[in-house]
Amino acid sequence: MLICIDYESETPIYLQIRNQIVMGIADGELSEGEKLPTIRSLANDLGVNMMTVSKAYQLLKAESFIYGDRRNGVTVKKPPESPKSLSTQSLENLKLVATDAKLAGLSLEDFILTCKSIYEKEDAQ
Amino acid sequence: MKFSLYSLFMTILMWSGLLFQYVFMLNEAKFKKNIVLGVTIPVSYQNDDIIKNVLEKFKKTLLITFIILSLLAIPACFLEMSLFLFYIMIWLMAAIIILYIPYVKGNLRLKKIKAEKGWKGPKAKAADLKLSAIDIKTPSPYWSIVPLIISLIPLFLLDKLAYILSFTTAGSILLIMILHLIIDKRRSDVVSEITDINIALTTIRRRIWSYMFIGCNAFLALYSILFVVSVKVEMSPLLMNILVFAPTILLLVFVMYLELKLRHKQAEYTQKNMGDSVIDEDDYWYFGMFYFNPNDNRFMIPNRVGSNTTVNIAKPAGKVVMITTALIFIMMPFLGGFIWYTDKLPMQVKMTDEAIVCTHIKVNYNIPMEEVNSITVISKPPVIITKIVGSATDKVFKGTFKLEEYGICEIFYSRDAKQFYVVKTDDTTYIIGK
Repeated sequence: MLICIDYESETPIYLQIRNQIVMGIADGELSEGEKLPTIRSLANDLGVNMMTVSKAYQLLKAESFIYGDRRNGVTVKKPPESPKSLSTQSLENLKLVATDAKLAGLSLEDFILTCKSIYEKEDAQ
Repeated sequence: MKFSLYSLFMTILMWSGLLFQYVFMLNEAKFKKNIVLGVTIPVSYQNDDIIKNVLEKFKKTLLITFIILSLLAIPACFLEMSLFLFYIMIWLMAAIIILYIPYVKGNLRLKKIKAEKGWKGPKAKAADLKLSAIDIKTPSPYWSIVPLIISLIPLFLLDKLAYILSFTTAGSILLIMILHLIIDKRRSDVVSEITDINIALTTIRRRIWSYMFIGCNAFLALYSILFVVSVKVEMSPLLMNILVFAPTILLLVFVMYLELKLRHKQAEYTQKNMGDSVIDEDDYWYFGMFYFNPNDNRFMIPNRVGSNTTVNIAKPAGKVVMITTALIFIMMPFLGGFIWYTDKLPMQVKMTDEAIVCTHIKVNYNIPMEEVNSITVISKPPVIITKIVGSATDKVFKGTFKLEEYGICEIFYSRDAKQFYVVKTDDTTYIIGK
């Protein structure tokens, strides 16, 4: 699975790493129990600061997507079965997207339709 | 002016460096990771006629430059050694600079076209998560500690005679080992969305370079051993050089061949799988060669194509490295000039009741008469078997040498010396020419 960092994006690099790993888990490209690179190795391969990768991993740990420590490395965790709710970070992101949609003049129905289409597409993968 | 076989051999050796450089530069005209002549061109424009024209012009100019530089090397074969060194040093410096001119011109032309057309690749960087997570097994750089220890053997077997050779060889081995350690930590090659391809290409490249570094160090250690053998027993210096340099050159040629093959494969996969998702870092690469990025904290920067490493000139340490390299480079012809000049200076021998003093640039030997056991006069210069430490040019012979008749001696004479004195003290034999 490739992780692509866009240096011109407004999204911070640590969030880009976090988002792509989450998407990889959702798409099944990263399965439960799979080892992720060490902070040093990923930072070296992406050409970013180790702190940036560390921040992304901490966020993923806080959201229960991964587990592990410095010595044993980090591993992909089984996605939580229950409670079926969004993490605080995802809720924040969704709030931002909904606000953007509202400002762009999208109706609630159209917004829900767009969300539905994206969800179904992800589900199909 | 007369033809010299030694000058011809050295000229061919120097010219082969130019040939290597020419092949590598010619290879820069092929797309690798969407980069050509140090400029990132989006996939959809790579077959544009305007790009093809620039590349064709580059190849043509490079070939003409290479032929002219090759012809300029020929006169070196007809020069006496000290003048040869002076000439070849200037030629080498000029060759390195001039061969880069077509590259720089091509780079600037492509950058201009890219800016005019508004072609811009994404400022994105890719890493393969699974490749980054695995530990690629390669021969450890610390294997070079074995040749490092072996290279110090002459120091114990030949005493102080071999300190220059031992330290030079050990220093070279240490430098290669450090380079190996740096290259071993460089980032993985991502050329495809298929992880297995990325793993295979990264593994092959790292292993080849690891074997190359350790192999070179092993040959350097072998050189040290053969040097001891050549001093202790009869061995032709030519045979010794062939035994050491032939496998080293073969190893280098083999590694270069594999590296070029790998680059070709990487280019193929990049084109096929990666599309435009190769980062456009052109703004940080001046003339496609020098990296300047104040926002990058790294000091050592891997080249965008190939396995070489450069420094970030925006960092103070990067500036120091660049200036030092430039100074060494500029000093090369001066060094050749210095050798040529010193060859012309007279070698003076003063024999008084107190001492024998031999002077060439500085006092080389000061032998008090009370230490001298015997002095004999010979009319012919001794036959040299091996130079241990010292200089042997067309005119000047001085330093520690192994001689056919006298064994290990200190010698001091010029080629036009008429008489030779064999001066023996308790622990040393000197051959002094007048």
